[in-house]
Amino acid sequence: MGTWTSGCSINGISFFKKNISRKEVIYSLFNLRSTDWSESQVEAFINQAVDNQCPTFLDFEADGWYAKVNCEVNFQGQPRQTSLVLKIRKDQATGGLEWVIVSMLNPELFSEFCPERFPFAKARRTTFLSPMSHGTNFGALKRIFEEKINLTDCMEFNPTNDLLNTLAWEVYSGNFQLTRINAVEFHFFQVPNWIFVIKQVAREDFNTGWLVPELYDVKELDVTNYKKECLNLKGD
Amino acid sequence: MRRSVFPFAVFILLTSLSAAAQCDGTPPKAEEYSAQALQKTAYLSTYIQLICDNKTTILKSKGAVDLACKLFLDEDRVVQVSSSNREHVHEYKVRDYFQHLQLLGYTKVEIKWVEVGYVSQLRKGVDGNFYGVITIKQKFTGYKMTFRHTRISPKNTSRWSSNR
Repeated sequence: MGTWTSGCSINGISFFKKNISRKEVIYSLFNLRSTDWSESQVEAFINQAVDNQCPTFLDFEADGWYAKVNCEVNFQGQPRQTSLVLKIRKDQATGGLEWVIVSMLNPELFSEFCPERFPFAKARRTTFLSPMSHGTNFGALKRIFEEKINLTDCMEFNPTNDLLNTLAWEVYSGNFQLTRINAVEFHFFQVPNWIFVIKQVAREDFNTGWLVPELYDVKELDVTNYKKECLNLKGD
Repeated sequence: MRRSVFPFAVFILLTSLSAAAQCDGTPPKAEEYSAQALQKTAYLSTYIQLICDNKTTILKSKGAVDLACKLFLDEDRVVQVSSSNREHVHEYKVRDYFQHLQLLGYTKVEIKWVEVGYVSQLRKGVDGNFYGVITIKQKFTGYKMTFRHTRISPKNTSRWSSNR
């Protein structure tokens, strides 16, 4: 597990530096107390990631990863829980990035979808979620929900998405308020043949912070079904 | 009369400040922003100590609140507070947070660095600004002296005892 090389000397005391391989770094990112992955799965996953011929890297700007934000909302005066699904969108003209809402879980919150189209496309956008909003646990979402009319600036424009259309109308009419963000998790589809989830684990241990508690081999799982069930995404 | 001092509340203050920088297409140097942010954090730490200390006069405390608020882009910025005593993270607008601290009236306050701070990679937003996240963690311990008047005998004698 790594080799030690001579590092530096401070006040006559020599410190040694440990060379840590990428394989060891990736292994340290797994939640060692989780039961949603096996050692053999992790071994296969890491070997694919560090392959000499074709190593795999994650791409912040690319598609294939989503943030799932679990939040408490107030809908028609009742406290409810739901999750918003967001992804990074890149403006091809300027190269600028932003987080956009692409879906919402628990669509049964709405008894029926609003047939009238919300005016999504505006001549001048006034707000957006910065590409680093995930660093503050999407705290900016609360402010955007309070602005009501500008919420659609932070949504993926899709005229056939009845769920987002209804959400936009409910927020605009004051029936839907975001009260608290409980947790954030990230779902990655960027590594070929694998799906993994990243969640924050807070405990007094070395194996703490943002870790991988769930790893799935796509051979044993239907990706389309996973996206539908976990993220409420259709044909994305 | 017996006096004792005990930790009243222990919580971690996690302040994540989103920093934006206008730039002409090239990402600014993270080190410059990191140095500025750490300097601001040192000021913030001093102001919080002044605000929390009940020996600080009301006038000085108000001044410290104003100065602390000026460290942020505007007063709509939010401070997230987590506590070892509860599961949820509480959010306060900066001025509300400092005013809340004023009312706590701690006898003694200790602020220790848990994570000195780092600046994430800067990324270009759709408005042309570059955005990064500065994360600073402090362990905040407030000490409060409280007393309970306990009658221990029927002879109208009394004593002060510590109260948790």
